Amino acid sequence: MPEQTKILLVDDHQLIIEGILSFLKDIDNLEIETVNSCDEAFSKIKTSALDNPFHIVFTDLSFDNNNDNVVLDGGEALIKAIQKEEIDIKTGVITGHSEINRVFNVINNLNPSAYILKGNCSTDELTFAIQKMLKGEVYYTHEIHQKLLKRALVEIQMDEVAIQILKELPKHAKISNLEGSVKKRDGSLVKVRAIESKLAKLRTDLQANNNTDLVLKAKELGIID
Amino acid sequence: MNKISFFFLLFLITSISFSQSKDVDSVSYYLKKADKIYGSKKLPLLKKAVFFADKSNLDSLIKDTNIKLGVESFYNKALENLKFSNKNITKLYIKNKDSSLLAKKLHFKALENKILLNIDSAYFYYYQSINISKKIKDSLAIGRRLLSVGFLQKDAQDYLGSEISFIEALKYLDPIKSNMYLERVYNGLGLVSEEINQPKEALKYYKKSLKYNTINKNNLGYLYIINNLGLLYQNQKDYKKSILYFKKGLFQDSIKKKYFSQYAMLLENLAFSNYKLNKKDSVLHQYSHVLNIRKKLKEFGKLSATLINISNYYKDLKQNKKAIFYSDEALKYAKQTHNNKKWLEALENLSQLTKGEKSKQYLREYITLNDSLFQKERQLKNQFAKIRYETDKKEKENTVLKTDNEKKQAEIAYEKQQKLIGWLVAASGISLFVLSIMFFVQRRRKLLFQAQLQRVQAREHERQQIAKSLHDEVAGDLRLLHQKLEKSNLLEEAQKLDTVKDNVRNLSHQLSSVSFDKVSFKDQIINLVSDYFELDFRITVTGLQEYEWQTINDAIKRLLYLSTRESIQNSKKYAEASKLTIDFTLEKKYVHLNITDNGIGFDTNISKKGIGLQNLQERVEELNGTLQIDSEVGNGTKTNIQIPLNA
Repeated sequence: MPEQTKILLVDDHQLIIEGILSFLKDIDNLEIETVNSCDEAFSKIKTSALDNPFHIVFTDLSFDNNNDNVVLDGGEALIKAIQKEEIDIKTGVITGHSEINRVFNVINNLNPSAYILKGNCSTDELTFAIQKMLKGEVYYTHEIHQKLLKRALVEIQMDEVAIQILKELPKHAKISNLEGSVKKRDGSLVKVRAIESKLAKLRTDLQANNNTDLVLKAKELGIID
Repeated sequence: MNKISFFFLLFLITSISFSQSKDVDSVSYYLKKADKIYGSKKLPLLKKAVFFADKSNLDSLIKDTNIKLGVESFYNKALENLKFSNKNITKLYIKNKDSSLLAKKLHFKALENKILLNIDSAYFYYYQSINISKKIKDSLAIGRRLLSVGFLQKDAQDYLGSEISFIEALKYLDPIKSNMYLERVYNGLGLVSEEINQPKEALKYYKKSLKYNTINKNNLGYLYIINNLGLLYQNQKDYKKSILYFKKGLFQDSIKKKYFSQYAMLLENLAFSNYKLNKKDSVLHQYSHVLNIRKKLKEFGKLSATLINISNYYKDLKQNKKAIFYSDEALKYAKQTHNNKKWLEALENLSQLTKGEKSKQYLREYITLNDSLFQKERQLKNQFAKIRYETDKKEKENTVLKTDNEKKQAEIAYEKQQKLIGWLVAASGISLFVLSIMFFVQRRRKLLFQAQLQRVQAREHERQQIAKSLHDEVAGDLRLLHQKLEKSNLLEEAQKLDTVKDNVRNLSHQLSSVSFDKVSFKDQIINLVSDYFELDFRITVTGLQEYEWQTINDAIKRLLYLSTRESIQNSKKYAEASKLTIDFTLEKKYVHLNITDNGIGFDTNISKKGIGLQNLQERVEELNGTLQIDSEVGNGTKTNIQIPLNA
């Protein structure tokens, strides 16, 4: 962990910025700057990237853009621009948007290092999130986490191949033995490599450590009987 | 029963076909038999052939046998038989309207008149027959009839007309190389040329006729031509040369057997030439031989000529008594057979041989006959000319009528065409009108639908704006207030404000329109489902993965989304369901959404629709879709939505 962590806070409501600042002021070794628009934020990140770069940027998603000349109109656009320029900075979202569509869209497409909800964030949560982000890990607020898990569950339920794999898995000692017992909708067999990649995805989605854990979790969640 | 009738039918058919073939055999048997016989004995055999042909019911056979019978009847002057065959031919013509039969009928009519010596009528019918044949382009028939006409005219001393007829016959017979009749036409031309005092031409024609004769190997024809050649020289007073020809004929093989009559003719002519050369020793003998033959063959017309010859012979020898006897005889036969030439000659002889009142009597008779004959000839010639003129005129009239008819027909056809075009134009006009109406109706419907969609979209946009300001402004301000309250330790108020904030957020959620730009329909449905998914409220989605949702109109997808949301909410809130199935089915023209839960259900007759369902119903109707809810208390609820994909 560097001695000083440089953080840029982006929100169009000054009161919110002040509120977040009030949480962050209790954390040590933070150097915080704030801006009220994404365009400002992006230019600040870019200009300081060479000599004194920011480590983390926290941004809201929705911005009230009174100005017509706005280039980056929201948090998603800002994150996209940063990723496009391949700037070495961790991005975090602090927002009021907990609608699954927005959440899913942002996480799926932009892969932010953190997704925190304004409503119930605290000094503790922010500290934990910053630590994880600096380690290169991902932090989602519990509520968001739950939503993603449920979503994965629903998707797995719709995936006939995934369910077949989960059902067949306990019956076979080796994954290679599964080949021949898993079929696609059109009747063709699923190859071992496809089964393995599917299993990997299932493990991440259901946050399972290994295949045994996966089957247990699937049973727990009612995906299989 | 069926079997019996079948066998009966079989029997009938076989017996019919059997008897038919039997009849055909009989016909050919009698025809062959008739071929081997000469003269009038042919007729009964031919009549039998006609009888069996009639029985066989084969038209071509009936036609052929009757024609044969008719022709032979004419040669044998059997008028009744000729009429009989002509009646059959007429019947056949009425039956199958074959123009060649009509031509034949008229031909036979001409032959009948020829037997009856109605020369002008015969001529008339010949011309009628020729006209029919011309229409059906039967060159052989035309040529043959013209040949007959030519001879008819020659006999009536219409030599010019005869020559014209013969020449016209050549026009038809030459192209089809009918050598048989060409031979006869040239022979006829020779005879006519001789009559009009063109012996050189006559000789040329006879030679031509002989040429064809050698091709045809026609022995009988040869005898006639040779005889004519002999007569030609005889008339030129080259008796020696004429004798050469007559003898050529007389030395033909088996002439006495087959061609007795022709033998007599040649012999008679030879005798005449001999007589003229004063080789009188054999003449009388030859004449009496001819006389016997003629009597035997009952050729009384020719007999009168022989008698005149004999009379002349005696007249030269001044044996008047004998001469008068033979002239008297000749007169008798000439009268009987209408041999006018010999009749005159006989009268002339008698007037010369007798004296006084008797001679005067013969002379007067001669003059009267000659005058009447002369008049008759002239009449006949005029008649011929008239008939020819009239038929020509008729033909012209016919052609005029024909062209008139054609014109009229063309006019009618044109009118019909115009009418048809009119109808077509009208029909196409009507169909165009209908089509355009349909098109406009369709277009109007489409436009209406599009307007509907736009209205829906505008509304959604408005909702979006409201939702956005609720979320960003109201909720944001509330949040700040909440934080401040918390900091001011007004926890109770802060808690209350939190609920208000949640409510506002929910409201914003509900209001916010669904758009599929950023997140696809499929993902949104999954998101929606996962929003409500609980371990004790399991939602299963089927049919979502299978279809391409990008192509579906956003308004429809939005409706599906909202319907899904409304149904899930209802099931979760009121139905106490633990399981929910959502099934999407996309067809060519419709999309179906079936949502089934295992909740407590409700009585659809009693329960009013909630505001959510009412809104949904309106939205479905906006898109011309149908919403159907089936439920029974204790048996869950089934929601069935069908939306047309295009207007």
